[in-house]
Amino acid sequence: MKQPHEKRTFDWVNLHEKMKIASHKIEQGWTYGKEEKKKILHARAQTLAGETRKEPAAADFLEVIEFILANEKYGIESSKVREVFSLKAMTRIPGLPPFILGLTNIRGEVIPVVDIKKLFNLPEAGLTDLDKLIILQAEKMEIGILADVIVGVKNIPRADIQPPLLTIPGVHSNWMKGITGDHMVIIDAMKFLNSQIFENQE
Amino acid sequence: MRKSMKQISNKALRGGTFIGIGILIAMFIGVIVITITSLNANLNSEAAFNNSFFNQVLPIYKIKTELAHSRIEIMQILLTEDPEQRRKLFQEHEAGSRVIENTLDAAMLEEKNIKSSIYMQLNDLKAILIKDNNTRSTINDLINARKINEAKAIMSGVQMARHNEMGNLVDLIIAQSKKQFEDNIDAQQRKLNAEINYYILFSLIAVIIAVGILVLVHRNYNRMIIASQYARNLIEANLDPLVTISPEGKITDVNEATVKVTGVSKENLIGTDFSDYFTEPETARAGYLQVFEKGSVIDYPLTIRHISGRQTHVLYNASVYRGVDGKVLGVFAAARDITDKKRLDEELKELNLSLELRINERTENLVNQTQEIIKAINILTVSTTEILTATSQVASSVSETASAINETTTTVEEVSQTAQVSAQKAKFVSESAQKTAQISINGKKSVEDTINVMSKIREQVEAVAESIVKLSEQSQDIGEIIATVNDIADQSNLLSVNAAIEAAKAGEQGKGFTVVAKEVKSLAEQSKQATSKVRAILSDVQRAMSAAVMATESGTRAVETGVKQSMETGESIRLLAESITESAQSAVQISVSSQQQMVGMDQIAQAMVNIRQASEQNMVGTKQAEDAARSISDLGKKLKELVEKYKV
Repeated sequence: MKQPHEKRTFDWVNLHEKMKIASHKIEQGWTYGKEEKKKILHARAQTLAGETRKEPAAADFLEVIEFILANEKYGIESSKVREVFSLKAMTRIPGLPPFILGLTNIRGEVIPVVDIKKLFNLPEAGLTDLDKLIILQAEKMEIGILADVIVGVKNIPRADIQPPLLTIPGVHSNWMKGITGDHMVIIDAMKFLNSQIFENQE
Repeated sequence: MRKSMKQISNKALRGGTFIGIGILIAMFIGVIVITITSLNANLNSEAAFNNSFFNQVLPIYKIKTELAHSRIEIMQILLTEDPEQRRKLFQEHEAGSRVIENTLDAAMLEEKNIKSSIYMQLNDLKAILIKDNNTRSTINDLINARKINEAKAIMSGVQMARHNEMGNLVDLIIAQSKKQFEDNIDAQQRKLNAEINYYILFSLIAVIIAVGILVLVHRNYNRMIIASQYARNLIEANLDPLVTISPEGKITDVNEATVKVTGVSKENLIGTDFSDYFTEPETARAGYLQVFEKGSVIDYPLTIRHISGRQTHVLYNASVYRGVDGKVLGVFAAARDITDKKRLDEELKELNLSLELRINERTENLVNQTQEIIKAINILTVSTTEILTATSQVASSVSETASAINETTTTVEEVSQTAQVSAQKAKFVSESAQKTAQISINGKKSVEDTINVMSKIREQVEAVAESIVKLSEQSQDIGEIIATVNDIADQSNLLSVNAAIEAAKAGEQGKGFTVVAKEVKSLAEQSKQATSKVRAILSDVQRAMSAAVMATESGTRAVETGVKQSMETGESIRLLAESITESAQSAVQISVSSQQQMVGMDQIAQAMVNIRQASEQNMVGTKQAEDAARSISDLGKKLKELVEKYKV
């Protein structure tokens, strides 16, 4: 019997106030105010101005495309990447090796879709998006590797890349260029593309 | 009786005579005293009167004489020429006038009544005299101044006129004095006449009283004679022979009965010896001597002898009689004839004998009867004892009944009080039930109101739920939009990556493009962050909404429960009201029945009072019965005792 009494003391006025503020914010949310716009632009200008000054020498850095696959960070040399796509449709082709999931058509170009987890013997870590496609370009051919998330382009100092341990057993350990301090596995695109598996397939 | 009457009459006679003569003597003495006193008074007053007259009148005569002298002297003074002679005459004249003045003063002193006309005239006279004196001194001065003619003129004019006036006044006074004197004499005469009338009246009254007393004395004397004759007749009428005897034993008086019993005439009997008329003269003598000795004798037996020889047995009662001085004069003896009585005594003796025989017979019968009575009494005693026991038992049971009645009465009163209390309580219950019924009607109404309010609440809660559901759908829409936005951001990101790759391929030329690519990437990242935030918020919102939906659902259920419970409450209140109405009706019935009970209790109390009265009467009756039984028992005992006394 006491609870209704307590509920009766619910602060309706306060609620109305909050609702008012919320509706105001929502209305404002779609278009920034003049002041806010100015502030944001100013902040960006500041950061851009800073970056130009800190421009390091390009030879010391390796530009990579960072992506996430089965919750692991990977990087691949951007010089070998033609472009990235969001995989819309894929055609499974029977008789292909298991690491090739199928074929996709990008602007009239048929590109094989490779799941590198199968190549690296990585476990299927739960359900992942696996809807991004990074198209690598070699002299002979072009292939797409699947990724969960494309993080973006990143410049990594070459000194930071540690070479992989040779003692680690594994068929394709030579495809890995190394590992950065923040646990990013750098894949050697050239070695990967020039490996036997694709030649065999061809 | 006769004697005392005579005494009273004598006393009255004597007293009356003495008083009458005494009054007469007193009146004569009174007359003499009054006469002497008034004579004396007359003499004295006459002497006083004469004295006063002379004392008053004589000086005035003297004044008159002196005035005449004085006038003559004035004449002489007027006539004479010789101065020596004149002075001498004048001196004489002065001396004369001084004498007049002195005499006048004396007369005024004598006249006590200063308001009387005489005194006034005397006073006038004195005033003129004083004026005259003044005039004289003037004349004297004139003479001394040798103004003889002027002095003479005054003397012949004023002084003579004054002297004449004075003479007239004196004459007037004398006349008045004379008249007063005559008036006084007349008054004296009238007083004397009145006194004489008084004497005559007084003497007349004395004579009338004396005549009255004489008449009274005469009547008393006649009455005395009649009374003494009456006494004598009574004595003569007596049947018993009466006789008086002198101390010498001689007969002094007898009545007719004595004459009859002796056969000797009264004249012959008086003077003879008393003892000669009895068969035993010595005994007779001894008898009257005994009377003189002791004062009286009663039933002294003697036998009188008639001349013919017939004897009469008598009993003498005799006593001495005394004279007025208390001296014993003789014996008064009365004889009672007892001849018949003696004969009757003989007969009585014979009768007594026969009676004694019969009494003995009777006594025997009586003995038998008393024995029977004793038996009966014994039985009576036993049965009365039993009755006593029974009555005492009844009495005790009656008292027990009384106490039981008292207890019952108390109980009845208590029950009556309880009934009263229960009537009051029932009334109270009835009233409170009516109130409660009213309250329950109110309760029913408020329950209905509650149900209405609950229904409204339910509608509103349902409305809230609906709007929340709508909100939820809208938030799903928002989610879809966000997914779209996210997709766009993803693609923008990819686009930025591609741009960066292109820029890298372009080399130095593509550096600016790299910046743009970076910018696009950062925008895409921000979009993504925003979408993820919105998604988080949206999921929160959806959780809150589902909670709200659940709350509204439970609220609706609670409202439904409330409605149901309110309906149940209404039903229970209705039932309660019904039962309360029933209980009110039964309270009214209780009240009515307890009032009836009270009435019944009052009737019982009244009945108990009647029973108590009856029991008290019963008690009194039992007590009376007990007393009666006891008295019967006592009576039996007494009877027994009495009868035992007669056991022969």
